[in-house]
Amino acid sequence: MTFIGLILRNLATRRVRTLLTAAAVAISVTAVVTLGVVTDSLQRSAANVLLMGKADFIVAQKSVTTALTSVVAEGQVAAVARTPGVHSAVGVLVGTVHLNATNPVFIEIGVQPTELRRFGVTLDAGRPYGANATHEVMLGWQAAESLHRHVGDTVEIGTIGYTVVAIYSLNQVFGNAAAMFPLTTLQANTRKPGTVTLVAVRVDRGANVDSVMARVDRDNPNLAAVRLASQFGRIDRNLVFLNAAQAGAQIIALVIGVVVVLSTMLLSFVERIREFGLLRAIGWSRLRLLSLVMGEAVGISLLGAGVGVGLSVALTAALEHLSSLRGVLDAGYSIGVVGTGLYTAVGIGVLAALYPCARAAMLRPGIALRRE
Amino acid sequence: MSDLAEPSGAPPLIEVRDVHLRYGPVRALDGVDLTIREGEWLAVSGPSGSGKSTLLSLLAALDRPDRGEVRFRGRPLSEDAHLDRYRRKDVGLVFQLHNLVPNLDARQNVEVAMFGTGVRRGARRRAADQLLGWMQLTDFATRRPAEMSGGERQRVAIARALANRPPLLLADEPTGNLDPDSADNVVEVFRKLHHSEGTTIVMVTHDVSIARAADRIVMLERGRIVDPGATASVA
Repeated sequence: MTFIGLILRNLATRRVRTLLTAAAVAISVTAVVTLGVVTDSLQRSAANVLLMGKADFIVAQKSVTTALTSVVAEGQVAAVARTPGVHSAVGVLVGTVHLNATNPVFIEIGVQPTELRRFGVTLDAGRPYGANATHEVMLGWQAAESLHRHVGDTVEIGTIGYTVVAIYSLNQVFGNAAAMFPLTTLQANTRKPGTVTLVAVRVDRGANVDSVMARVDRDNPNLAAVRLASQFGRIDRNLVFLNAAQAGAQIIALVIGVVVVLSTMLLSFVERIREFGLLRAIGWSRLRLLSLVMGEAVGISLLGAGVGVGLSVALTAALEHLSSLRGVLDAGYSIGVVGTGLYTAVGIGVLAALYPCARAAMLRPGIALRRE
Repeated sequence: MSDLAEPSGAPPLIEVRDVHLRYGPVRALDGVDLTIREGEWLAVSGPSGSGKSTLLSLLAALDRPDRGEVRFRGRPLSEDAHLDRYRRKDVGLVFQLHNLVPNLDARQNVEVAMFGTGVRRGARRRAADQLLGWMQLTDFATRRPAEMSGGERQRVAIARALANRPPLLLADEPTGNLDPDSADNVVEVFRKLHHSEGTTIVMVTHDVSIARAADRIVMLERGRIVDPGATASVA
């Protein structure tokens, strides 16, 4: 029998308690991992929406509730375009509309037809819409497939019928699952005349992107230039709140996990005081006894981690199929996610075992053996 | 208290000097002096509450005296760092209630005493099987305590106590819960150990017939040694 074998045997002997305690760990791990995956996915989705187009960075209104409520006046677009080092600045209006059950959050993009190439649009079929066309639309190839539309077909978006004049490709999935309108048409339909949501900026060849961003920030105090997902909190306060809420919920889940596991381990410790006293009496060192208690806690934690990550995968898969989150939540599981589950579980186990370990280490064998 | 008679010229293994210990208001030991020599088989007897088990607990370094000193081969049993090693390597313990780990089988109960001694897994298993064989428990190696009789459990406990070949075996009422045949078996095991291995044995018992098997019987009363011992004197 090895020492690890002894730990496993102890866990197997008290299997109901082991499973219940592991379940508590699993619930905490599920909460932490699911929240992390969902938050990460929502952040990526938000960042992807903003990063559409061929841009070195984007500029939007600073600290709005959500990025889609950003309002940048066309005059500000022109000011950004005049910033030294800026090669092009394309004003883009982004909105969403409920299309149908399959497309609950359908993205609408408004761009001037003259800016399509600079925005990175490639036409797969058809022609660009006219600058002032009120009933022409271009569909991203994924949207066209999803809606079963071809060039020349009609599609109804937000109670208005449009003729599909082109099928296009952009550099990422959200853009390809969207529809593009003449900027003025979308501004009129969304009652946002003379404004855009964001500005897609390309810098001059050889220019330092960070320097240009800093200049844009300095010259336009109510705008923010961002290029990385981690910077999007400067624009979208919801992302900041989401992160804070995630951190808070994770801490609560951890605390609940630690308290549940601690109470179980303490109960187990009290029940096994004679056994621990006996082990000390036959020469087990404090460190070895501590290793036994800690090993059992970590064993339970690892079991909980496995179950928790599994539950989290199932839960996020279910969330992805919720109609309100379809297309927005794209849960990605990585080694990092599994690692988070593992760290969480082991963290719970170790924290919860500290006090029982201290009690075990301080145990005087004579007193423990006399205990009824 | 007066020191004991010295039954042989062997060097002292354990020396107890003016040891006092109280449990709350109760004086469990009240100035005990005792010398136990290498290879000696000593029985400690006396009425309930006389301090027999407390004395044994001090010899095993499970408790510490309030006053006085216990020495093993001249070294005081007071330094924490040495106590684990002392309990692991120098002393084997047998309790009245066998105190086996209930979820481990007989072999594992013996092996568990060898953790931390540097003995590898295979060697631990072989040593455990050898000891169980010596206790005539070969067929019981995979049985858990609940699947064995009191006598069998006690022999497993003795095997565990001997796992690290300690020079000193301490037994607290080892036959207290056993039927006469099982008790005789345990005494016979002690006799073999004493004669063939030269193990020093200190055995607490209130059963005079069991105590007579020892070389010397020490009588305790109210925490004091009232008879430092001669086998024939306790009749």
